[in-house]
Amino acid sequence: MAFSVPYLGHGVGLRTTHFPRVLDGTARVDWFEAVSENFMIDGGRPLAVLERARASCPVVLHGVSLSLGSTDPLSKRYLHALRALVDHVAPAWVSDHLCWGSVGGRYAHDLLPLPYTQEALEYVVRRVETVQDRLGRQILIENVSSYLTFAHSAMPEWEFLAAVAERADCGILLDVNNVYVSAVNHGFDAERYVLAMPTDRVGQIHLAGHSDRGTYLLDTHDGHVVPAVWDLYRLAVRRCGRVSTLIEWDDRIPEWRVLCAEAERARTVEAQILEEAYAATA
Amino acid sequence: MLPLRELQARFLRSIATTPEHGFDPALLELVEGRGRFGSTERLGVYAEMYLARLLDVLCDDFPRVAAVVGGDRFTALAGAYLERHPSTDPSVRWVGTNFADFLAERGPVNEHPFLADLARLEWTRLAVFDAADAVPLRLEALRAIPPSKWPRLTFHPVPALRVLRCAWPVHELWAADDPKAAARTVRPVATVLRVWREAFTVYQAPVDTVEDVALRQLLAGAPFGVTCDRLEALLPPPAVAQEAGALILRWVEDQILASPLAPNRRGRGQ
Repeated sequence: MAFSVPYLGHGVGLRTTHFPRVLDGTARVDWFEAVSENFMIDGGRPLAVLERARASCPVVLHGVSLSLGSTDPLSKRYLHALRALVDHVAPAWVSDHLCWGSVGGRYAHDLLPLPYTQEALEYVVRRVETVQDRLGRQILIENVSSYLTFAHSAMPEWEFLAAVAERADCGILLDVNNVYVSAVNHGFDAERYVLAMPTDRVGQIHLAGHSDRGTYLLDTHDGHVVPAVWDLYRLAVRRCGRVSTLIEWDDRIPEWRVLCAEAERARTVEAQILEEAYAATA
Repeated sequence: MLPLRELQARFLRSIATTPEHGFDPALLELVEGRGRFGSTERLGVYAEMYLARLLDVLCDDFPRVAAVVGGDRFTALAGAYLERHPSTDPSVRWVGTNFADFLAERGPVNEHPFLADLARLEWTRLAVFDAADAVPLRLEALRAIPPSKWPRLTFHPVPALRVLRCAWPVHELWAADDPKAAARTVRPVATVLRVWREAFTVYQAPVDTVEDVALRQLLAGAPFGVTCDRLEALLPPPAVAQEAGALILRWVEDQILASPLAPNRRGRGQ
């Protein structure tokens, strides 16, 4: 089956810092990405903000707790809540992460790394299929930043991600910053990762800042996108063409104009690469 | 090589509990290390993030408790709480579900016997903050009801209303500019708090015995006439109707009565 999502342009995350702007209508942006779990509530200000955002532009739902790689059964309650939110918001698409976060009914509330084995692949594919059945739509799965790898992994992460997308017939949310962070932490070639992505399945790109902790990079989402990640984004656009791109800025969130300027920079980078590609073929 | 489930169980146990003798050796054997960033340091990143993330959540959810006990003590309390009550819900929204009960079971912390009540107030405020929306009853709708129908009239509370019974006046601590200083002088006083939301703002206020009785009737779905009957035990008969009417007007003003004619905005009940 083919995978397809609309092109939305360049968006930002829907975060509490800028809720007042969303409510007064001055938060103008191509689209918003909302963290699903933050809105799995009955009412109040967050839902009002989400509804206001949705009335002004497209919204996508991005989850952190599906725990697609967990060996626990999928939480029926969570899936029910997600389905209700999807029905209410009508997002352009729904995404979550290629990781696990719970076992034995206990949640770490973190995006924990998987061993890239055949066993894990079978688990993840089956769970993505189940989620897609329950939601009645294809989802996108995102590569996470990681700080460790397992010696018994049978394939690199990019092969695992591509295999899940192909077998489960889902999309890919390519987090370029996460590719870079993991590449530095594990010593692999970030460009090789991007070039290995099945272009017809990449439906969204994430850009974000990270922190250098000396012996490793930490995915902190608390600053500007660094030059090396912009370079990797250029490669991703060259490879995949126009892909909806989002700036993730979750900590030390700057004022609205700074956040929007980062999204505008992504728009400019994308336009430059596409112009170059057009000129080369003209 | 460990089966995936076994690996995940050992991984979560390693990062969620304070290792007395280092991380699980069987797990460490599977983790690839490189140079100065070895397998222990790599697993350590996850252990550090686990506590930091959940500590942040508890600090956000219980800011006054954190202010009263202080940073280091709160970190220790949060760590002990998370070991005793690990998160069992996909959403971090519910990490603090058992925190007030944990504090109550644990007993006084730093000579602060009111902490469990203060935590309960902060948790209740969160419940009210994201409770289901409702269209509040308006004064005009009330005025349109003929007096003969009042005794059998049943009012409906909005979902964003809670009544909290405390042994301490924790609303005073909550409102204090310096909760830590206020904690030194607070004395136990049985206190009933009404916690509610108007638009997006959460409020709390102590209620007297009359309002407490009336709120019990409201939450039990009793008709207005029954509420008045209950108030007769507290007030002289001529004052009952006047006091009950005044309460209803106050509740309408505070938007804690729902309009029976308008359904929940989103049609998704609690």
